[in-house]
Amino acid sequence: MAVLSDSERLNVYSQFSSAFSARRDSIGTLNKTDLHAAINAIDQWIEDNMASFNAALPENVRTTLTIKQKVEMFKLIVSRKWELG
Amino acid sequence: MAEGDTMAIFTATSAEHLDDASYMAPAIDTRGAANGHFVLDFDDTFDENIVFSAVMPTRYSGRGITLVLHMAATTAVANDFVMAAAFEKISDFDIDSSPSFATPDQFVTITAVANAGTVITGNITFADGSQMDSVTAGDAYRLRVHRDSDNTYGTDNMAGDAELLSIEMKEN
Repeated sequence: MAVLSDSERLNVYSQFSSAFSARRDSIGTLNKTDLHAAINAIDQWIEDNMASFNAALPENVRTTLTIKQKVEMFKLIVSRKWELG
Repeated sequence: MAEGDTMAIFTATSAEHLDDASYMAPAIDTRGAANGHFVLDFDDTFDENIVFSAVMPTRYSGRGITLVLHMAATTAVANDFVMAAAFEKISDFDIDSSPSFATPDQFVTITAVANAGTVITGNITFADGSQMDSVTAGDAYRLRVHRDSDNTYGTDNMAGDAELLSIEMKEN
């Protein structure tokens, strides 16, 4: 996988912004530039640590599942952790 | 003399959506469940447009116009957002045609305050004539308002929605 394009990162930002606006979550004095930088950093961190993530998986899973399937598993775990807060 | 007279008042519930794929519209929302104030939520990422239709009162004497926007920030307690507006004269206009709002939009930069829910105002000033699409007394017109999220006119760096409660239109 590659890092997201600028337009895809913008779409992610838009989703995040719509979500915290709908919940009326406080964002302090952070501005759009700060939040864009955070999204860029997270996207880059995922890319930089993809090999480490893959290496942490059991060997038979690592060699059988596609990268998309592995990331789907990762996404579901992160999503559930977020829901549980 | 009509100097300073109110020519129109627009509220969130009097807003109209443009039936045009090139315009995205803000969602109408209530400011918290407890108080029920209707607001229009203007997104911070992509420009969203809303339209108000009216007729310029006969007492309008032909000066410029000031729009007083009553706004709040949904969550932000700092930073700036930019609101822009344009007139479209409807009288003598073929309403089957595409929108023909005057260009460029006039705009104001508003700074969010320490409490996100506090109502703040910003003024957008129009000179009479072309900036108002030459709207005169008795003319039907539309007023398009949008948040300049993509920084066409100013620096909009406030994260989160900007909420429009109402607009007072005054003669200068």
